[in-house]
Amino acid sequence: MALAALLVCWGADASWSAGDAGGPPRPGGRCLPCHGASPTLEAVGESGATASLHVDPLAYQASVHGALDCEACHWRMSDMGEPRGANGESVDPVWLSRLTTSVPDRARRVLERCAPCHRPEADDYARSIHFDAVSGSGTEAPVCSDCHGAHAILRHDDIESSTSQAKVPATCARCHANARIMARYDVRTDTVKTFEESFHGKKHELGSKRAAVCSSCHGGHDIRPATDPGSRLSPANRIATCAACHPGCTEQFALSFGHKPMTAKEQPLVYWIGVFYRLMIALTIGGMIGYISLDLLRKALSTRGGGGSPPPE
Amino acid sequence: MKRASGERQFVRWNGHHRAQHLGVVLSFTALVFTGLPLRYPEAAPSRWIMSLLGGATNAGIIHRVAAVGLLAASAYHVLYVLAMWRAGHRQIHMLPGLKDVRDVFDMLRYFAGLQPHPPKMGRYGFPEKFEYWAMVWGTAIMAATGFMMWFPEVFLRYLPAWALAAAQAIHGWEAVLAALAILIWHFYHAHWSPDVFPMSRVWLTGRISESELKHHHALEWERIQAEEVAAGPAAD
Repeated sequence: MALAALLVCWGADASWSAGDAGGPPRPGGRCLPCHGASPTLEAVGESGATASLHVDPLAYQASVHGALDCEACHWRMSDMGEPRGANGESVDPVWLSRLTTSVPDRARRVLERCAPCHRPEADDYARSIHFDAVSGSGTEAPVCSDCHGAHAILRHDDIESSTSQAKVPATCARCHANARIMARYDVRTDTVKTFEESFHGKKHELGSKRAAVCSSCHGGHDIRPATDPGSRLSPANRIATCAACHPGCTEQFALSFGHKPMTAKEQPLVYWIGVFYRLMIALTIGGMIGYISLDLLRKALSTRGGGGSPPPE
Repeated sequence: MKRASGERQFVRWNGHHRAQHLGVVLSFTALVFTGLPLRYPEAAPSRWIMSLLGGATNAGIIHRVAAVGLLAASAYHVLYVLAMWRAGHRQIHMLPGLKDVRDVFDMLRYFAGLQPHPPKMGRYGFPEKFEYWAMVWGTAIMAATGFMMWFPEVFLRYLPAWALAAAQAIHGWEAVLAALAILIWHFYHAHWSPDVFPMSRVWLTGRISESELKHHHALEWERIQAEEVAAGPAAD
């Protein structure tokens, strides 16, 4: 069955491959005639689960990889039999060997496609809490494509990219605001909400392109928990992390920002300031509205009595 | 109360008063419109304001310029009061006293129909004194917490980390209180009250008609009358 499908692909309509004007071959020429044609193309696994096999040709061509052939990443489909760098060079297979040990299938399939060309990022990632989780048990722990996407990857300085400053909070929130996933790794889910309540989060919500987002402080590929000495947020590193945007900052400055919710237990001072002001506002503004209502009522009654509001005496 | 034509006008606010008020009007308005969107970023008006101003960074710059403007107007006011004091004007009309407390109760009694007339008030009555001192207190709080948020790196060299979180909370809440107070209390007395609707013009012309002065500031009117009697016949 798979072989039959493969044969169909190899013999597919050459018009996509060569372009309408008969120019040089287009990337994806052998695959996109089928995979780019129908949005409903899908595979059905043994368990009955389905996975989309569709690739949007225009989105792919607009992506950072749009000039590459499908086989550059899907190298198992090619006759190369091994991954190649962007220029066709052979790649140090260290990554492939470490992947075969403890990494689940899904993660391995992604990493063996990206790591050969993106070694520095892959090396950073290999030190991250996300890779720890992937290596441990986590079928849901993120690999490259969970944050970056697959066939429509854009550079992070493109505002539409899932890893742009504009989109990072939403991208992280896909998992970090998901109670079911976070429960598996014992990570709290209110970090997205506390970010949104913070100065950085509010400025970001207003469309600021300079506001710090998750990755500004926590890092991206190399993200480590704050308890890890190598983390950007460890006691040894956090001042330097803040200083990237706040030159001249101190330890107390670094400690002033975090993800503590504004509850009586975790931020008592801020919480009680809120209680105090709510009370103040209710009493002050309520009193004002009451006074004005009485004034208007008195004026209305006096007018009906025929005299307008009387002068003081 | 409409001004009757030919009615005598009194100068209530001179050029200094009006300049100080205008400085506060402009800076306070700019502070509210650039500040509150940061407190309520998900609200639709916040987005309109941000797109109008060209983004949160511009709003932040305008907010800081307006903050300096409000402090400049405040400094102008303090220097003016000091200069007037040195020139011999020893009566501070804004100072609250026991009479103001009595006036509040008399006003409430009047509202309740327990007395036929509202209390006589001086140049500034308790509604104005209340607002004035709320403004003084609010400006001091907003300036202190605002500078902490403007220069957090500097302040946290000397203050503990929780001070900045507290400053942010206070700045945000005080802003809501101040904006609501102006919108309700000040706008009622200066715009929406049937006595002045659609607007008292004192802040523009500085002038008030004799009937308005007698009605709202009876003691001030009596004081001026007494001064004029002591000084001889009035010029007009």
